[in-house]
Amino acid sequence: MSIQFTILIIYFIFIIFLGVLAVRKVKASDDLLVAGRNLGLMYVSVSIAAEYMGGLGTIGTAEVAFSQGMGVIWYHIASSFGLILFGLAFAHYYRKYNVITVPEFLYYLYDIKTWKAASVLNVVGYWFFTIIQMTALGALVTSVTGLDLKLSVLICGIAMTIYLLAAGMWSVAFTSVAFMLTIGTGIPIAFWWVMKKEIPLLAASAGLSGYSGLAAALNGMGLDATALFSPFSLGGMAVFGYFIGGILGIPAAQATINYSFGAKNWKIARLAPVLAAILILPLSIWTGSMGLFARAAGLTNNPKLALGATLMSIHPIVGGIGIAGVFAALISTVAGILFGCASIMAKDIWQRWLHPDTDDQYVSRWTRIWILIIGISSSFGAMTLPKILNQAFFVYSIRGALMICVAFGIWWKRSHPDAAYWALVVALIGGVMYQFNLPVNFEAFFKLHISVWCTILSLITFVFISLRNKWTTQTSSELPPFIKYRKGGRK
Amino acid sequence: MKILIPSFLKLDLIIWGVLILFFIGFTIYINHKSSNYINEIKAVTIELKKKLGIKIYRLR
Repeated sequence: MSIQFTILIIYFIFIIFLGVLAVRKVKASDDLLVAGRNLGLMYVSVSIAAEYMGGLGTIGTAEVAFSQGMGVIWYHIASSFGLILFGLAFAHYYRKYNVITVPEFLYYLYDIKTWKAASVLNVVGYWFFTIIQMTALGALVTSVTGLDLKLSVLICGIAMTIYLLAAGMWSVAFTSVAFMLTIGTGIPIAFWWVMKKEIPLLAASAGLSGYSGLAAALNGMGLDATALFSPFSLGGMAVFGYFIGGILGIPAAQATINYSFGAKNWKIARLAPVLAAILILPLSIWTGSMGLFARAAGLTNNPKLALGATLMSIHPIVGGIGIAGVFAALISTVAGILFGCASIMAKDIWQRWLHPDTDDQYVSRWTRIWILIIGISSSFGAMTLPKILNQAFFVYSIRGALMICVAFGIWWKRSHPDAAYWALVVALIGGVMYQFNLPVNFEAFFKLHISVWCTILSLITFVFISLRNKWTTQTSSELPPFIKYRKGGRK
Repeated sequence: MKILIPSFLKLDLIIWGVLILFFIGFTIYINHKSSNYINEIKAVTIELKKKLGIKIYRLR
C-alpha cells in the first residue's frame, strides 16, 4: 500500500466521522435542509468555497495551464466575481423570502408552473451533474490507489451518502471546514515543495528554484516561458467565457448558494459569498504552476493528468497531502451537488408538490430517503455509464435561463410568469438541439458555447414574452401548497 | 532570468488585495444597516406588487 493511499484512507475515515458527528445538531427538517438557519460566517463561507472548488478548479486549471499557460488564473478571478455579484446583488433577495431552494424563489417571483418547471429541471440537471462529478472523483482515487474505477466510485459515493444522511447541511458545513483546511494547506504545501525542491532538480533549470527555475526549464523544453507566464496567455474570448460562466453559474445555482440560505441572518448571507471569493482566488496559482511543472519536467503528454502526475512524482508524504487537498476539493463539490439535488427533490417535488399536507417528521424522513436514493443511484450511474459525461449539456442549457429568470424577476417590473416558464423550456430545447446537432452543427456554425447559446435563446424568449404579455389579476393566481390561505381569504 | 514575482502572480495579488479591501468595506457597509433593513425591502416589494395588481401572499 503506497503512502499516498494510506494518507487518503485515514483522511477519508476522518471526514466520514466528522460528517456523522453533526447528527446531534438535527432535530427538525429545517436542520437537515438549511442547518436550522443557524450557520455563522465561517461555516457559510467555507461551505460555499469548498463546494465551488471542484474538479474544474483543480485538475481542470492545471490542465489548461499545462497546455496554454497561466492565463488560467482568470478562471478563479471570474468565479470570485460571480460570488461577489451574488453577495452584493442577490443574497438578500433570497433571504427576504426565507427560501430553502431556488425553484421556491421562482415561485415568489413568478407562479406555480415556473416553480414546477424549475424544480424538475434542477433535479434532473443536478442528478446528471452528481454522476459526472462522481466519475471525476473515482478517476482521481483510481489514479492514486490503483483500485478499479467502479470500486472507487462506489466507495466514495456510499461514504458521502452516509455522512449526508446523518445531518444534511450541518454535515456539509462540518466537513467543509476540514475540506477547506485540507485544500488550503495540502495544495499550497505541494506547490511550495515543487517550487523550492523539485524545480532545481530539473536539468534545464540551472539549479534555480521558484519561477526563475521554472522559466528556465520551460525554455529548455523549447517553449516560450514569457508567453506561458503571461496573464493573458489564453486570449480575450476564453477570459470572457470564464466571466460568463461565473455570472451564469453562481447566482441561481442551488448547490453553491444554498449555504447562504442557512446563514444566521441576512448580513452573514451577503458577506459570506464575498469572503468565499477571497478564499478561492489563489487556487489557480498553485494548481496552474504545478501543471506547468508537469510540462517542464515532461511528466506526461496528457494535460488532464498534469496535476496528478506532479503530485505522484514528488515526495510521497507531500504528494499525499496535496492529493488529499485535491480529493477534498472534489468530494466537497460532489457532496454539495448531491445535497442540492436532494433538497429540491425532497422539499419542492416530493413534499410541496406531491405530498403537501405532511408534517415535519415526514419531510425529515423523505429528505434522508432522497439523499440515499440520489447518492446510491448516482454511484451506480457513474459506475455503469462512463459516457454520461456528455450529459453535462443539460446543466449548461438551463443554468443561464435560471439566472435570467432570477435576475429579471428581481429587477424588471414587467417580467412575466409565462416568459420565465418558456425561457426555461426554450433553453432546454435549444440545449438538446445544440447537443445533437439538430438541424445543424451549432458549435461550428455560431461558434458559441452551449451555455451562451442557450442563454441568448432564453433571454430573447424572456424579453419578447414579457413585453407581449401583461399582468392581470388572474396572472399567478394559483397558490402552491406551501402558501396557506389565512382566515377571511387573505394570504 | 531572475523572476521573483511573475506578471500573472502580480495581477492575482493585486486583485486579491482589492477583494480584501472590498470585503472590509462591504462589512462596514452591511454593519451600518439596521437589522430591520430586510423588512424595509419587504415593504417596498409589497407596494410594488400592489401597484402591479399582483396577488400579495404572506411573506414568511
